[in-house]
Amino acid sequence: MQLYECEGKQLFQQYGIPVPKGVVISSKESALDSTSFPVVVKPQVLVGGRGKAGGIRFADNIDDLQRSVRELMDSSIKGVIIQRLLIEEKARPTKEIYLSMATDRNSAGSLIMASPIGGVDIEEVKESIITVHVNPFLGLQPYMTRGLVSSLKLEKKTADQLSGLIQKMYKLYSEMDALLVEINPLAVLNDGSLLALDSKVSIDDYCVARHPQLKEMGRPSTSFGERLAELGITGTELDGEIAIVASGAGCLMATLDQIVRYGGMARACVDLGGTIFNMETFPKTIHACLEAIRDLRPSVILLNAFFQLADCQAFAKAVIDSMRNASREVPTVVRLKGRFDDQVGRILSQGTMVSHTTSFTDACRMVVEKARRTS
Amino acid sequence: MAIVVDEMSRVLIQGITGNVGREFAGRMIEDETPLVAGVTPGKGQQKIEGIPVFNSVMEAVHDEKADVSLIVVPGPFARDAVFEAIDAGIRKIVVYAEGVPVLDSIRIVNYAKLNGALVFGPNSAGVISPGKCNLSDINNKFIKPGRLGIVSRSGTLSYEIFDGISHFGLGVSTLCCLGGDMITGATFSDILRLFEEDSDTDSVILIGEIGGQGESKAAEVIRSMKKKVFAYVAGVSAPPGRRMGHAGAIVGETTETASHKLETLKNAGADCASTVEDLIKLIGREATKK
Repeated sequence: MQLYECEGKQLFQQYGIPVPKGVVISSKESALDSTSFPVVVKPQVLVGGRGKAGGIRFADNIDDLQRSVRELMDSSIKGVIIQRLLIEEKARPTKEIYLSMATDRNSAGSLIMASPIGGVDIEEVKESIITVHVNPFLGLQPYMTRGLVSSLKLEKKTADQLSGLIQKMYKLYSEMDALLVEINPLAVLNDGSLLALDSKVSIDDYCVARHPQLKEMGRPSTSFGERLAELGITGTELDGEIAIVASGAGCLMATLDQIVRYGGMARACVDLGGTIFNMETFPKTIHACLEAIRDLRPSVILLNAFFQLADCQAFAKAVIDSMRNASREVPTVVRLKGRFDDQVGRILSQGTMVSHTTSFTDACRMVVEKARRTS
Repeated sequence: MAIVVDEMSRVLIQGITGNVGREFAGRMIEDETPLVAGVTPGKGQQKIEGIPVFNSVMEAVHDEKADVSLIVVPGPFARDAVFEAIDAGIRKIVVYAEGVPVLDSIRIVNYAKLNGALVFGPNSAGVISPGKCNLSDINNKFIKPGRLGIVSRSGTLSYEIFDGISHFGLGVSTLCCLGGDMITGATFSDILRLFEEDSDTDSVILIGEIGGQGESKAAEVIRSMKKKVFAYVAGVSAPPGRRMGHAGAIVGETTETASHKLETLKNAGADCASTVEDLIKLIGREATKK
């Protein structure tokens, strides 16, 4: 789960990492009179490259500020509507560095990364990054911090503060079950002190429930993803015509590959995952899932499931029930394989606009053909 | 012989008294998989379908000589279960549990490495040597014993593959599922090496997906293998930057795309396919040649 910049900065404050003074507003009418200038106005969106897209504004007085707020609030940047703005006191850094902590799948561990070149896209200055591996059993040890800080060649006062900041950052990272905590840039001010000008924090989805304060944070920006996430299902929206629903992630990707091979394009890719194991709640879940998909107005839906243990009849019944109660009629191809799959045809024949097969490739061909005919 | 598990294995289920655990126990007994014990702290002295339940893995190892464990506890408890199993001397573990926090996975993988243990998963559909030992959610009646080894990240995708090859009369020596999470234990390289040494396996099918570097690292092992390797990497058409179901199925760098991995595997000598249909055809053609 990705946190918004202002939410990440809230956590920073809790852990003693200094951030600029600021307020978050969520409407054009919010009171702005108690602001001290100059300020920076930052849209709170979960897409990168706000600055390059002209989203970050500076204001020297109240008129400039009001104009920026009017222009930015409710407008969209990179396809996302701006619903919140963070207005902060503008800092005057003498130097900007990059600092982050992240899990690294390649080494199956955590990394601390720093660079003397902050404030730019870190991918562009990869060679300048200093990396320290943190052993999961040792945690952050003083020698690791020492090595990192000394390679940045900072003045003593700043270096000492940085050591302390790294420890606080590691505490946040471990206690909040973060997968990423990134400060870019971390500003060094005139007096040698540090200030986190930006915040990017990502929390392990499996651990969000442990932290009550995260409950209201980091809403995903597309309602499709959110509707499915509430059901325990992962899905992504695309701009083709065929909505694919599969009984597993590998199956989902393979179905997508096959459909594209036959000339089709996906409107959505959905993985039912573990929800299929709970047959009591499944009918309700699959209906809500299919409704969210129908709202995307695909030309056709493909349901692809190969069950080892579950009874295919129960799945077929749940699908037919959903189609009967559908808010919108969408042609559906069902590929079901597993126990009692020979009984599925009988159950599905009760519905209209539904075709059925036990063959993976036939199902993909059928759905691409249907999509072609409807367009 | 098969790899990892066979008819000589002595299987333990950690979390046996839960719903999932009981179902696995029932199936294992039906399949004649050598299940010897279960562990659920506090439920020792019970029996599940005649199988003794212990309070600790140490007791299960001492009394029943269990040597491989299937972990079906809820995600947050998996780490503790793995540590306990490794400390009790178990060196082969399948973590079927999902929802395991990433930091826990990191510790599991590192502890396994430190102790020379082979830990599959987390979020692994399991390991099965058909006809000998089934530690997976695969239906024994759907998979044929044979001489092809399969190693896959995804469980559901492996079903398509073993089903597909059965139409050519081909069966499986052992199928290993590595799991769909970002950070997992046993790697493609680990399993390929085992298959290369296995007298019951003639050739291997590698089923990868987008994200991570496991498949690319496996290329080095493939280069030095004598046995034939077929490979499919799912997600050639997956949109960049999106998570495709599995937490681990997300492209981090350009080297983690399906296309790049297929290219790397092809250069190492694997016979590659970019759809399931093509993979099955490839394997079928090879089989009918002989």
